[in-house]
Amino acid sequence: MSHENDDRRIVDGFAELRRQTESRTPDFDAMMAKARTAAADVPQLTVVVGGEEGAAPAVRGDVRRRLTQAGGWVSLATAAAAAGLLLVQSGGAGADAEFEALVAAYSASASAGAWTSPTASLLDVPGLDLGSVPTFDGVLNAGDRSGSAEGRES
Amino acid sequence: MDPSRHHSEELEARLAELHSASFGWACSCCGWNEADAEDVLQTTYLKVISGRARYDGRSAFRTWLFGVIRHTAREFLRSKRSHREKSMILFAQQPDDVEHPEPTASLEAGELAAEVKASLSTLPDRQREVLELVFYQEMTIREAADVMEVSIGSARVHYDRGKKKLRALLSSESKSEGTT
Repeated sequence: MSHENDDRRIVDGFAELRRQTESRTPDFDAMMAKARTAAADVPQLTVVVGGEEGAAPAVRGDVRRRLTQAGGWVSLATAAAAAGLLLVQSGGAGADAEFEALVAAYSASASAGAWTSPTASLLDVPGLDLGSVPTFDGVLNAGDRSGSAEGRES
Repeated sequence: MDPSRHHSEELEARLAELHSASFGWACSCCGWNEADAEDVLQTTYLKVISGRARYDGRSAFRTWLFGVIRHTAREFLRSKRSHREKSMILFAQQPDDVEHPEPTASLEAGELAAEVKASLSTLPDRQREVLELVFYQEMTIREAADVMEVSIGSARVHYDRGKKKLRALLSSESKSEGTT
């Protein structure tokens, strides 16, 4: 079968489908009446624009949309402000100052030569001073020197 | 006359003029389920008269209205699918494949319209949509692209592929009818 015949079948098929559907189309007025009833049931935010009561539904919808958008922006700004406040309070300003004070104190003590090793106390063994032997040379020499001086004087 | 009343009367007149075509498009968007199409069309009218959907004049009125119907049908079917899935979980049953029936499922003997409808249900959504808009609604491919919110190039590709598949499907069905 050629493309032209196939295309003819497509066109005819759709035309037949259209005829069938059109014959079963529900009544427009009945459908609009149902839609109007449903629209009346939907609660609407009534906004009087420019003092004119009974503004067109399109205008009311527009105002409602703008109010929703404004509300969204206000909530966003509030949330951002609250988050910023929390960050500042729990934050870092206090912790930073404390850290800087510690660093300054450490630097000052290190520069003054007060730093000692954490293991320095291990070198302080009790009795370590007893390990050194006293010498007598110094004492004898000192005695000789004083004796001869006395002899010379006498 | 009150301008808002005049506006709504004018709007209703335009909706009435396109009512039959709108119902056809709603059927098409709902997989030719007429009960669903009626619900979708009524919700669309509700959106229009309550101002939730507003025509801004940037496109033809029919193109805009068909776009609203398409969106409404998608919302409706998504919600319906969600309800069905919940009830499936509740009753622990497997879902039936009602969205894409086999080409022969709804085939009525000797009816070309039924053949077309059944064949369309096997095509991907975009291909089905562009063919229905062009052949059923007699739109140009550009108008169909506007309703579908795709570029004209994309719509043309969907149209060519869809038409080729539909041609093949109808041809094979006519052959199988011929042999039986």
